[in-house]
Amino acid sequence: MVDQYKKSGYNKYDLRLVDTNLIFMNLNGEYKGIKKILKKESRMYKWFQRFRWIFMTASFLFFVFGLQIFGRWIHNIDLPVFACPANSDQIVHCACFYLSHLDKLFLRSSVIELAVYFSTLFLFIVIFGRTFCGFICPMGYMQDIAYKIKEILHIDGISRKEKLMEVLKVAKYLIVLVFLGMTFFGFNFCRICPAVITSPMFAGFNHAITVGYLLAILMFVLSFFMRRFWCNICPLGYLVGIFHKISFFKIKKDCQACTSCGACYEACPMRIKSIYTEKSKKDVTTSECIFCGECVKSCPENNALAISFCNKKFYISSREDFMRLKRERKKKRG
Amino acid sequence: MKSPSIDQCLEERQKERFLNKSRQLAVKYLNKLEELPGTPNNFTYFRKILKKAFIENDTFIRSTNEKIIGTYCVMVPQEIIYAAGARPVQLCSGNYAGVHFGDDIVPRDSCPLVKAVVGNNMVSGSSIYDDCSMYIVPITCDCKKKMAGILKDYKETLELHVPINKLDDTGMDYYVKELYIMMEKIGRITGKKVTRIDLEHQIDEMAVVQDEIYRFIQLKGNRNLLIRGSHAMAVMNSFSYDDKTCWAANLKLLNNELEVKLKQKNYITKKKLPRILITGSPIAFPNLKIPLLIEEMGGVVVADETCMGDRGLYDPVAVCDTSMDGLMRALANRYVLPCSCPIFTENRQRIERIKQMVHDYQVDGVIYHVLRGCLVYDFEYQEMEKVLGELGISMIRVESDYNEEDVEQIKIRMEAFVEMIKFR
Ligand code: SF4
Ligand code: SF4
Ligand code: SF4
Ligand code: SF4
Repeated sequence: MVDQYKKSGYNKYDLRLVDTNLIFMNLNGEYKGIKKILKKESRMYKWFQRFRWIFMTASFLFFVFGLQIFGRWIHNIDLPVFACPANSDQIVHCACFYLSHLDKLFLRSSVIELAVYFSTLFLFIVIFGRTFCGFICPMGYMQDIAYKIKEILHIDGISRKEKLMEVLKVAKYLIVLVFLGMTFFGFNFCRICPAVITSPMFAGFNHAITVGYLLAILMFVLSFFMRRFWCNICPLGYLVGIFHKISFFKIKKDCQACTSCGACYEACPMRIKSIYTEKSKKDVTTSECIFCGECVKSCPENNALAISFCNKKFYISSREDFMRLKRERKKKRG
Repeated sequence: MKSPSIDQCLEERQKERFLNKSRQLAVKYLNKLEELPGTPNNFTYFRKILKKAFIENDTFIRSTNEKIIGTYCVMVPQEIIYAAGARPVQLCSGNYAGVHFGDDIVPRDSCPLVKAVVGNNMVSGSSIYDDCSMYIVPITCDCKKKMAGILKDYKETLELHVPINKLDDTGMDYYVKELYIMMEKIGRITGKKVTRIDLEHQIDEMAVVQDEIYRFIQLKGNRNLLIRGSHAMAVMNSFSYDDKTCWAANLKLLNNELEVKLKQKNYITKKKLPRILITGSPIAFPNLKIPLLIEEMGGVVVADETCMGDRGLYDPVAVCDTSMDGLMRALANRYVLPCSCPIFTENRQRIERIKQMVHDYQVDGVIYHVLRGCLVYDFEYQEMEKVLGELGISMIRVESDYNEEDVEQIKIRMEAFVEMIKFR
């Protein structure tokens, strides 16, 4: 390893003179490669989170008022997000309705409709996986807003508790069962679904007060104290997540660069512990990961964590970005 | 007035002897540092503060009347102490003179660092100890644990329970609670209630210091040598003996100097010397025996993975949540999780860390330093040797004590080691 390094004849520090403000270490040991990665990276650290918020806001508006603006033109496609089609103004359908009414799906749909439904859904899941959760789902957006308010008010939240997470895990499986199976027993998940708080409510489709509304308020309050509370037990997100192995988006880790500082664990809204404890694997994506990028943002080690698409890392952690971010935050505070 | 009793006279003489001896030792090592070729100009400041603390026996704080809190090990969050309006000072000692006195009450086989600390406390007179209002001792290894018990006789001592297994969240939660208690205790001494804003402010301040430290670590690991590792270790050791902002400003000057040297290609040596990494038991000033010997024998220290060196200051605080609890958790995480101290039961990360350092700083050989009686480090030697052996990096284990008697023997081994690397 070291020999190969020496042979490359590349002196990382002399490189620094290009820009004395940059302190970096070898990312892949090649002169050209480094400059390229660094440039991209230093834009990324700013833009990833911004992009996420912009995207989420846009898709929220899209889900709520989309039909009024664009008309219903992609109605046949179902996205794996929690945007309730009880809002009939919605521009695209979402998968949860049929997943929670599996009997209806099989009884009423034609074969072609079925094929379209499953193939598009599958395609979305494979290509984007749970990036839907991090970037598109309005239910996730509502929770992120709740947490943002908490952050601004600086109120103590519920810190990560392993025991609590274990309980939630069991709850999640139960909810998945209810979500998929209840429809065969004359009941369905929609009656208690907290997602009614998202698009239908904003679009003005207020039905009678259901259990869902109460749950929705509860979820909102809980996610104020514990980031993305609902997502931790969300059945739809879980179902998308099980395909993470074949999904194109991945979280990559360089276990040697990682100092096990736990920053990623602390930052992760899904409280994924393995991402920090992992000491040998390169791919640390789990079924819970929603690709929110918080872990990469808070990781202080060069190249330790990255989000990749088709094995191409595009958002990479680095100490330089970490320090920049800190400085910027400080400046903002004054 | 009553004339002093014989006991008192003896005590006075003892104290005199102790202080003289400590001073001589500090002078000797500072001179050695000075004599090494290639001392940077801006090293003067760091020498000055070491001189002030160890030779002139003066704490920088005496003029400002701030409270000083003595800390041991590296798991005590400095930010909390600052936020509570006090100053932390690092008290793990490298004083050979202290060992003589500590030997009386500390068992023979315990580590010399603990003996020295206890000795320094038994014979009052060194100001960095005397001026402290409280000690904070993280309960790490067995010797430190018993040391905490002994120190209680001399000063108010707070035990800080460090989780034994870092992967255990319950342990971390407990540690966070301990930090709250620590904050409150310090607050009681200074009469200040710590607010969220204070803490956030101090974390920011420390981040500025850390940016410079990171830069320094990068520069010192440069392929062509810009600063000698012994100087770098002295710089790191001097951190807690002056105001941190002032220290950081001076480190910035030093960094700038090194950067200019880099630009002008003004390296310390044109020759290719064996690049050595030091890991193992703490190397506290003035006990700079090991790094100095390496450099005298023709090696260069390019990185160190010891707690008084890079490890204690390298990791930054990653704040993810700006509530009070969030800040405390971030601090707890920073001071415990990345710390590769072998007192934790599972410590695979230390090996990974060293592998990364070997790669980043193009290390040729590793010196595994073990203080006599420091068992926890000795425990991890075997596996480290195996892993480094697989990478083709040679490593030797060097045991040392707080006296000058072993110098010759270490010298011979060090020389052989350096020669071996040269001819490889
Ligand atoms: S109520 Fe919930 S599960 Fe049912 S369609 Fe609406 S969002 Fe989907
Ligand atoms: S996990 Fe969260 S973001 Fe993903 S579908 Fe469920 S509610 Fe939406
Ligand atoms: S692992 Fe990273 S990207 Fe995935 S949910 Fe956690 S913080 Fe977000
Ligand atoms: S934040 Fe980065 S360095 Fe820290 S534990 Fe996570 S991956 Fe490792």
